Amino acid sequence: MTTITSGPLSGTLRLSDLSLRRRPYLLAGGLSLLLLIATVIVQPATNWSGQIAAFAPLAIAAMASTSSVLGGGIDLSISPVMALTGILYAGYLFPAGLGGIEALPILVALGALVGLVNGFIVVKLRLSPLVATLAVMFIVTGVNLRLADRPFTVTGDTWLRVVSGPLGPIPGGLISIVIVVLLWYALMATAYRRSIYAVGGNDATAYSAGMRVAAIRILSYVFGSVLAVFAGLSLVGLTSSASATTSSSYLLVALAAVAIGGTSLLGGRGGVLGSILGAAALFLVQTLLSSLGVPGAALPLIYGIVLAAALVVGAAIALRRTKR
Amino acid sequence: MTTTHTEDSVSTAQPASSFRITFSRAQQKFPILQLLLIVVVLILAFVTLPGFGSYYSIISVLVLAALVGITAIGQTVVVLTGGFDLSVPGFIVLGAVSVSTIIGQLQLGPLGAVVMMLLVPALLGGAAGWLCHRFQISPIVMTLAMNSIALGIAAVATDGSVAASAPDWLRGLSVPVGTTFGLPVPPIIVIWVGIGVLVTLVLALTPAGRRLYATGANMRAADNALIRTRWVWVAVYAFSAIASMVAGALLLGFAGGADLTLGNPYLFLGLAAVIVGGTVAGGPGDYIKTVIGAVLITLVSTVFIGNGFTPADRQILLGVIILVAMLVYGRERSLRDRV
Repeated sequence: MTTITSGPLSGTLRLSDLSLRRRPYLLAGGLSLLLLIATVIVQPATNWSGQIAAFAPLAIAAMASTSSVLGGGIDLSISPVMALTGILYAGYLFPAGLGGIEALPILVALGALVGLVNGFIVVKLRLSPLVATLAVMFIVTGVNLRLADRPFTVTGDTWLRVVSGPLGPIPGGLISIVIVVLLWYALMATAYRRSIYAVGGNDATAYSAGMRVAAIRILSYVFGSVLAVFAGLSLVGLTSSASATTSSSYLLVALAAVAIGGTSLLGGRGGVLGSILGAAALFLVQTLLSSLGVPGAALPLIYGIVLAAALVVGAAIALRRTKR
Repeated sequence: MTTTHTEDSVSTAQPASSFRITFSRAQQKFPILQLLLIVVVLILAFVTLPGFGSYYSIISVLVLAALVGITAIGQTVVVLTGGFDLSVPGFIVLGAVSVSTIIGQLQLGPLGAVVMMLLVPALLGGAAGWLCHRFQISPIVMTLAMNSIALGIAAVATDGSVAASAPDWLRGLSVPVGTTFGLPVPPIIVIWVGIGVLVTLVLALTPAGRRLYATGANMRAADNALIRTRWVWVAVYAFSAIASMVAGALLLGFAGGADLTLGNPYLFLGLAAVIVGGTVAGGPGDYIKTVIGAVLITLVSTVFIGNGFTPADRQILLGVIILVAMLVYGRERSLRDRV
């Protein structure tokens, strides 16, 4: 059960609490910290407010992906749902005068619907999660292309700009990340927390123990899609535009962030803190490389090597943990 | 075959359910449903698209199907072991750039060309397979890293200006009016048939093929049967990388030029061909199914676009086809039955 504890919140901090085996997210945390220090040394004049604003969509997308992965599934439709959210807001709701906060429930309902479809296909129609969400990814991407034959832009100061821009001393993007983290921990404060880890760890055992595996799994897809809506809105707030070409840009990076953060893609192990730190590591690698003046051509090569190395180190630690 | 007798008695009582059993068994061995769909779409094409029946338009469809099918060779083999290969687009670009730029620029010569096209992807892909198996890393993320590395090598080797053009001999391979040894068929289709027969025979008839199926069906059981599953994984991912490099070279010839996005559409198209064909993660499946899946997808796309639908509609339709195909034969066991 040690892997479920998300942080050293209770009692005194012991040295064993810093053990990488018990807290797989510490690897991504350490990596992020190193990269952060290196970036500060290389480029002291970094605009951190802007950096955090640019980081927010990736961080929220990684959190959205974590939801279904924890339950032993996977959701490839997170990124298209982000694009769909942006297109609907910038291209349809905003021009129709629904650009205020009232857009939020509409879009969240839509995201929940996509998640419901995903969950229904995976749980009730019993298709493999990868294949089912791949099909849904195709469908939502097609819808995006239909809805946005050109990029849409949002003009003027909307509430989205307020949330994702700097607000007094608070850097932009931080607010949206905090909102989503609060949503996550609100859900995890309920019995859902134990259920989702049990279902992800071993669904047959959870079923035998009388858990409502189907409902729990469907909820994990719905929650992931709802978070994807928030990620999409934070992307609109950042860029003030939306287009169908962003449909796949966060698709795989978010999953990589989840994996680096120590969440097992087999389900039942990990947490949202790791995904944020994993996303931070992936984001900071790119920031550092570009402030080092590394030519753009070499970026994917170094990025790939860092990703592979982080995966291997994380997995090697996890492997020793399970063998004990 | 102890069930033969009971089946007969069932068939007299409920002919419909017996037909369903026979059909689903046959469907598992051979993609009957997909072939029926191909026939339906063909009829639709002949009726709605004037001039579709001409020899060259059919050859053109087959050339497009060949490209999808060839990019799906590696994916088929990887899916049979229960994994997924997201590094296909990276190796496609690396293969295309190798042929167009790297081999010529570095003056590697014939030996160097073989090393570049075979050894480099074998090492990278093999490393991905080894690491995934040794450290129990999900192939999805590991091959994602390898995809980035392959793309990076292509970008670095060409100084970021990956705007390569194809040599003439390569372009000739996929021209619909091309001929192969006097036959009125473009070489790429002959190559596809050749590779397809080879892969199918290796999978079905050789010990290597049986080891691969055993590894995909149950890794622990395969380990206990003294199959070195780690080397099966190394071989599978190395093969997939090599196949994607070759596919990249052929794609370069078809497209006439290459940039870093050349391989992007083919990752999910190839995966869709595998899934629609009926190959399931960890088996059962084979390459013939993927060939039929590739033909079906290409044919449907052609008919749709020919009838004035947009690429967006095609995307939606592709998603629906995958769902319907999987509903027919790809459903998993109910949780109730696994307890």
